[in-house]
Amino acid sequence: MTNTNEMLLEVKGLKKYFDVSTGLLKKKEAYVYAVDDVNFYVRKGETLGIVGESGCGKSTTGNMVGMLLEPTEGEIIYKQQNLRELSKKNLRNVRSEIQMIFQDPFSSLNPRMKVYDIIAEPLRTHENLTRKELYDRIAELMDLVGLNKSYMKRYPHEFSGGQRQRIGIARAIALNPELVICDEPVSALDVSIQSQILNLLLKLQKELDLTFIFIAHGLPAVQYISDRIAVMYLGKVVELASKEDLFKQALHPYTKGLLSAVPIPDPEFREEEKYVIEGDIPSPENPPTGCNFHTRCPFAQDICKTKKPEFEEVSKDRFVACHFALELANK
Amino acid sequence: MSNENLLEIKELRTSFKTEEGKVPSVDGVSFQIKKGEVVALVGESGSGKSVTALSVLDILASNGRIEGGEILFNGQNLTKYNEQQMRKIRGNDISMIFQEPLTSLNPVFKVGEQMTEALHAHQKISKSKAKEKSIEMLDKVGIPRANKVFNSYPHSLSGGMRQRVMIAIALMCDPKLLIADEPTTALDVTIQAQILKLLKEVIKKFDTSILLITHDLGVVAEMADRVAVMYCGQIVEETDVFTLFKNPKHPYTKGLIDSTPKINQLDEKLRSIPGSVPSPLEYPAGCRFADRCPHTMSICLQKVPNDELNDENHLSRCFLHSDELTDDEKVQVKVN
Repeated sequence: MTNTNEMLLEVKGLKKYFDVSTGLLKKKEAYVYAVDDVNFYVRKGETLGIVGESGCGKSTTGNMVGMLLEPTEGEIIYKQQNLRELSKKNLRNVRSEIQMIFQDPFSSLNPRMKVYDIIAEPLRTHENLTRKELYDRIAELMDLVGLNKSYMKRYPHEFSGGQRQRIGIARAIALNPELVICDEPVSALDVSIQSQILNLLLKLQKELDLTFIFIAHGLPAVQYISDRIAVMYLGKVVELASKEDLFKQALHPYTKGLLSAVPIPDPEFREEEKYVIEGDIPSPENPPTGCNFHTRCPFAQDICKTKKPEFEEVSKDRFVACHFALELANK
Repeated sequence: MSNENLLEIKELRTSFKTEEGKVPSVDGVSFQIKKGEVVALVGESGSGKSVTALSVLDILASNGRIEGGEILFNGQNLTKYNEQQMRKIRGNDISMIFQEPLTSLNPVFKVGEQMTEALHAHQKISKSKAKEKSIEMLDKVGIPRANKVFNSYPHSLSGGMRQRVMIAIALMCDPKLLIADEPTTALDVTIQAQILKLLKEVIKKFDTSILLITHDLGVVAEMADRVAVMYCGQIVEETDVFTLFKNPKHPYTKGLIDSTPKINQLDEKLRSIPGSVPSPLEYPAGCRFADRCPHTMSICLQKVPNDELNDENHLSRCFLHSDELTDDEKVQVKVN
């Protein structure tokens, strides 16, 4: 991977609270703390994976970086410019550089548009191409993602899930973006198709020099494609580290539980003792005090119930939010 | 585990009538489940694994029909049973848990009512006894404050709790066979780990046989004793779980294993199976996997393979294992 040290994106103190107040004049104030103070950076050419279970805020984070959602608080700095302070015109340019791929290829493609028009749409919006140029570009894109260009005049329903996801990818890379946010791009697909799409994304990254934010709940897929991984729990990043460090030694108890929970496709490992996290994920509307994870953490002490742990850099490029991370590391 | 077959399926064929014609969803499937054994049916969407399970309980959609074959449960052929006889089996001797616990629980009845329903249907039991038994069962499947949950509605429970309730309902009448159709697919991984742990305890405590239907090889590796891999309505490979992962024979099984990312092998490149599953209305004449297979030979396009490899413990439906092929038949064909 072309991993330079150049910073492409930096997210600082990002928050998104959804207002769910009820009653006349909003008498009962309530918020869903979907994303609560998230910090990370993405270097040019790398893939940052974001994993977490449902409701942890990973997609909300992706949507805010993709400028589909307005953050409640915080900064998103892309190429040294704060996206929240850009003028409309500049923002329009940046939008062509940040693209998204969505989870469900069945609902993210307009069923009334032909493949040609789906891929052409961003090109028509952002670039001034002649008919011939547009046609050539679309044919080239379809070829790049492994679609037969004779399918150009077909509608999305004529394709399988994997092919539809390829159409979505072709649309996302049409404008030569810098950063592509992939929000669960393989979760809806069958196993044999998942690996096709993952390998396609890796190939495109290499050929087009793309930077990815790869959001998923499945650790195996994230592991396969990412350079660094951020683990989210209840609106917060609890641990962020390079893939190698994370798998060699997870520091946060939640990460440990998450790693141990993934069934390994090899029966030789079935007898291995598992560390199963008990209990359910608390509601993001009413998150626990102190450390979010203390209600399920087997190592929780009194301090965890009252004091929020800081998200600290414990060694180079390695962040964790746990009062006892370093002590637990050796357990 | 004993040597007695609890369930024996022979040459099962199930199809659905649709506007485009008759769709053969399960096409000649045979396998056995012994007492106390966990058999996994693995396959991708449309492979017919769920339809096989639904056929066992005869709960197919109205356009579906069992066209042929036998389903022997304790030696009795269930395909010959009428509706009344089947009702005595369902939820009693054979029960089922489904993928999505929110849609399989009735939202307008309390958990308790749905639990005792099965008991009252199959046994003569007093109301208070039934309640006592239900609460005991909720306790056994690891639900805290069972008393309170007994009186609550499904919507007030979390996904993991609902699936525990489903498992408790399924176990109410001490079934001999539990069919689990993607029991953890809709759940988060930490919850999935809890439910898998619970299912393992169930096998130990209740000595139930399980027919586990899943697409996740990780779940298979963790739970199953035997595995049958399905592709396009047929079983392409069947063997015990250790052999399957160590020495897979069928190219589809190999492809499936190679395309599953593993968290214990960081730098391995994933291989993928090219193409996609053919539609049941356009099945090729020969082997159904021929157009995606890396080893396709000329015979694969003409003839349907049977269990070419038929060891005592290992079935594989592929011509690669046949030693009776002529040189012409062995000619490699490039398909993809």
